[in-house]
Amino acid sequence: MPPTALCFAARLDARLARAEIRLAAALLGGALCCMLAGGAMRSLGRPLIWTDELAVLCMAVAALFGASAGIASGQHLAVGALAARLPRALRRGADALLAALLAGFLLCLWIWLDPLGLLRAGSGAALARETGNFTYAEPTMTLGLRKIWFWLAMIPATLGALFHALVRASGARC
Amino acid sequence: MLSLAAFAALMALGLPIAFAMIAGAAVQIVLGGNGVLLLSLPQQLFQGMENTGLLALPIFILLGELMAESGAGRRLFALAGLGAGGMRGGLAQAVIVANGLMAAVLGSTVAQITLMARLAVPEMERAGYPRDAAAALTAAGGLLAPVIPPSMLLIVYGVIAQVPIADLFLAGIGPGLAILAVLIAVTALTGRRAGFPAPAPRAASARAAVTGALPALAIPAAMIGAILGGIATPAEAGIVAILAVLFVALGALWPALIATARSTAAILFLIAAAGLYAWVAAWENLPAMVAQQIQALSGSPLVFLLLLNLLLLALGMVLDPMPALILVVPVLLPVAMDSYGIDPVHFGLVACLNLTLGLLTPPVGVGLHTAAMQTGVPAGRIARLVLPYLGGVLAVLAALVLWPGLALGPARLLQ
Repeated sequence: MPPTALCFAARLDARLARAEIRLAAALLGGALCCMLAGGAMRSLGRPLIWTDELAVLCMAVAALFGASAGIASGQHLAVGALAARLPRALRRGADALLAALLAGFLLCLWIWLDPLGLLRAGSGAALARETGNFTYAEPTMTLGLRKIWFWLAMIPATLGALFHALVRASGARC
Repeated sequence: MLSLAAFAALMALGLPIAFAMIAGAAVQIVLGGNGVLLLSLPQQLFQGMENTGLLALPIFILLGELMAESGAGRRLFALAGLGAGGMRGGLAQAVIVANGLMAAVLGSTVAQITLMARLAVPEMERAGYPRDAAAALTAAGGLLAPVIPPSMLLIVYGVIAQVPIADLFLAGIGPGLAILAVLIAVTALTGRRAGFPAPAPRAASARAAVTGALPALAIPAAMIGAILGGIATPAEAGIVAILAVLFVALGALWPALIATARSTAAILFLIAAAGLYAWVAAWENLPAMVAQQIQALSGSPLVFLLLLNLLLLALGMVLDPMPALILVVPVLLPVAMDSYGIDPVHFGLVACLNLTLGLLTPPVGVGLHTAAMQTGVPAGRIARLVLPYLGGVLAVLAALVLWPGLALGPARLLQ
């Protein structure tokens, strides 16, 4: 890749990571607000049953975006002692391996979500009837929403993570 | 076995541990001929983070960040320093006591060492302490964070082992105080041998130090009291404490949330990946196979605990405490409980205390490297100087293994 393209990729990588971590922080703030509201209403004798589930789901989605940003900033827990002694090419190979792993995960997501099957069937309920894939039919316990709305966060988070891994593997810097 | 080899190889290559675990799980699925499980992989990964107990994690991380920003560390250090004046090595003892107080506020070794290295090391140098001794003392003080409640490690163990976090916090008090006593004793001995200086009594007003530190002490004390007294769940108590700290550190909320998002994501994703690995392992009946192997090696709970400690010490030298705990607990806790009748709270305290030692041992020792980075003293030098402290904590660990009452006693008394 030409140096300008690499520089552009590195800048985009940093911006994306910043946006992801801000989104994760906002979601965590939301989760904490949910818990606060739940606790306050419980103590007033009027419990809100949906707060705990929404807080947990917000936290899980926050973790996905935070984990993606963590690849860009190298903040995931790793055993760095041996890796630090490896030649640079091998370290980049590890990043390429991570990108391959994430691409594989994306493939799993594609097969699991089966968007073509969904289009053919016309609805999540029809897909469940025809193929036994209940992904789009699974409800949340207390929110009155389908779980898929939260699971869908895995797509942008995995795409972001894949981009971060590819940029690291390419050694792009500005 | 091949999945474990893949996991270890990828980890050695420097791949984040969570991703190495996911790869190991995928290898196990493919080798086991259960390819269809790959389709459930994303759902399983997501479900691994859907646990109400895990909400305590971001809450306590945020609380620690806010407490650090609010100047709690400086005030607690000033309070601990009141008793230091005039006594040989008194300032060193004050640093240990301040670490004990700080452990009840922060709950994270890295945060504690970072803060104390900034506060205590320059002060000790001014008082005539060698920089390397000050750095080693600060690093050793960090050993208190994972045991004295609230502790991130105990929260994560509670979630994996399905043990009430309040019980773990209660059980952490005995070993935590024992470690504090041991660190004070080791500092006294080292100080006498190394000739630690005796600074002149400080003119600072005791009243100002006490009143300044009161809010910093009252918040964690009230929070831990509410949890132990059964008035609030850990998450609820943490939320109330956050609200209280926000009165003095509102401006720090957004940066603290960003830092919390970073730490929480790394830990939660690791827990989710470990959950995935445990799911695949259960599918392949791995825990039962491991139980069979261990039972063939040892018949008594004591031998089992000794073997467990050797394994954890070895793991702690190459892995952070959190991933090591997440790897070991789902496989060995059922064996410990079902085959040897070991109390899960006792098991948790032994595991957490043992893995804490790894924070100060090369090559990985996060606490060691944090202290080295913050003070500019080579990690190898700090590692040599903390050896007496590690020996002392190892003695507490041995006492905890032989005498479960050290952890369970205070819990039973207070319950």
